[in-house]
Amino acid sequence: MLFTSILYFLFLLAVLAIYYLLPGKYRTFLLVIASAIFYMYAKIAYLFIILILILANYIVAIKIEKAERQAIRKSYLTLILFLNISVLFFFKYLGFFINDLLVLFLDFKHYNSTFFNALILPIGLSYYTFQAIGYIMDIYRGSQKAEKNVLDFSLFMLFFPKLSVGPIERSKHFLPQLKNVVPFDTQNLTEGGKRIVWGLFKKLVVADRISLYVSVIDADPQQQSGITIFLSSMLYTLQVYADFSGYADIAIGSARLFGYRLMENFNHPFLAKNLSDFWRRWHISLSSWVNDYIFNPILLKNRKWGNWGLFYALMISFIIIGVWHGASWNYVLFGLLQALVLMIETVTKKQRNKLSKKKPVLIYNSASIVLTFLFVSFALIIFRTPTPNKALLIFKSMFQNPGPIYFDIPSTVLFILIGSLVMLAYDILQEYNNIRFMLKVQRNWVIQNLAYAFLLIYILVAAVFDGGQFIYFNF
Amino acid sequence: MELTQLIKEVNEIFIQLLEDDTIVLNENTTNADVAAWDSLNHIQIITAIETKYNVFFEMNELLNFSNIGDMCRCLLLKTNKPHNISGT
Repeated sequence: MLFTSILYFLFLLAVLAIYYLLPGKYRTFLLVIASAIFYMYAKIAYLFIILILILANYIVAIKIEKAERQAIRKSYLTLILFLNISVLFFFKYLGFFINDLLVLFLDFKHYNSTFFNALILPIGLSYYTFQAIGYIMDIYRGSQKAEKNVLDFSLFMLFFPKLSVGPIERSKHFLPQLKNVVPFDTQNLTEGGKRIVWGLFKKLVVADRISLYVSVIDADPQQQSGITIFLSSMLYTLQVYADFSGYADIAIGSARLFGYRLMENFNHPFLAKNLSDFWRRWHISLSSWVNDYIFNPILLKNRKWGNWGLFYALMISFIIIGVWHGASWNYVLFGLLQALVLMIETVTKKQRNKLSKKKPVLIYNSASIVLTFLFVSFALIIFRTPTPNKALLIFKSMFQNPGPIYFDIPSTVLFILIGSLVMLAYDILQEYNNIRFMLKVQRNWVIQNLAYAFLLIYILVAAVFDGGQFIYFNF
Repeated sequence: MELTQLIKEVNEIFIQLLEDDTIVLNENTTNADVAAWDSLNHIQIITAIETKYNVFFEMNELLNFSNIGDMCRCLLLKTNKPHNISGT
């Protein structure tokens, strides 16, 4: 059920109406059932996978908490991690493992890859298995109590606004919200509604409009001029952001309608002044997950190695971030490149600090923001190109192909320009706290609501309604 | 040594490593409160504290620190000096 479809909004409104009509004690049950229906709509079989994982994680978490001996706690941890990772591996990585690795190294004869290629990744699996692993790790570390209410735990795993594309929610943040009945509050409805409108704007007006341009260039990039490929690469970066953060806005807004807060997934990433800053602002629920459960433990364990320990932790962490997106060499390469540049940033930190003190702040910061954006855009060429050779050809074409810039039909260019500028201006105003212009804190009720009404009308005028799936559904 | 005194000493380490003399730590300070304190330089801070006080933090201790107070209380216990962990 696409977040931009009429069906989703009919479903959302129906659930919302029943939710506030029901007595408080039945609401969690309602949301669990609604979320199960939402998931079954994609494929009934996938509901069984998530139900098995919910039950297994629920039971084992309590067992870990109750076990007194460390060896038993560790055995339970190993068992449940093995189950979570095995399910993810089977659906997401087995095909790659057999097709790309074993065949490459063992030279299988008469090998038939049809079975593994036919495996379809259940929607949201990468998100909810990571969520379950984070929960279990917190129980094992003793920083979180095991949830005893099976309905609350089921909703933590299943809650439909975040089920398909995250955010990868943390139990410490979400579960306490389920302990009290949310009173009816019009502010939840208005704030949630506004967030959804903003998300629809980003997805339908910005991302899908840019997609019209980028897909033309992507069809045969080598035939395009270098400047066109360059422009298309920059636009693709904006497209991914508008698409994914637009989805997050709709998810966060939908949850807010029910009175629940989901964690923020983006924090103005294109205002990052370096790559480590970027990763604190981009897909925060994944990067902070990897930071807490992969990077920090590896780094702390190997802290005597100095910079080598840091490089090792960065490599492992960013390969995991890369392959989390899919089983393919381009994602591995993307991760390695991030780790390498982050390492360079770390060892050059003192020199960069000295340089920043010699230059005017505005110039240094602006140059840092532009360079970070350029690097991210170049890295995304590797990210979205199936093989390194193809990525190399695109880079070559970018710097070698002469010719004029390709302009699509004027309306596409105009809508891209307006949409991108509005989206980026909003981020800039929020980042630098220029509250006079911020709709969220604008005290004048008429101005605020007129602005959102205008945004809604603009969506109806400028949206691309057949733009299709969210990019991050594929991951 | 009292907790407040220890936090002052740790504050100096932060100022030196993060090159920011405006940093003022207290018991409740977390990495969200100090702009330059990220996971990349967190390890340098931990190593510097371990070296200065000649202690070694266990992995489960490090992973469960939720703020400066947690870290300094753990450090007080390890330094084996007369201490007042309430900080008063």
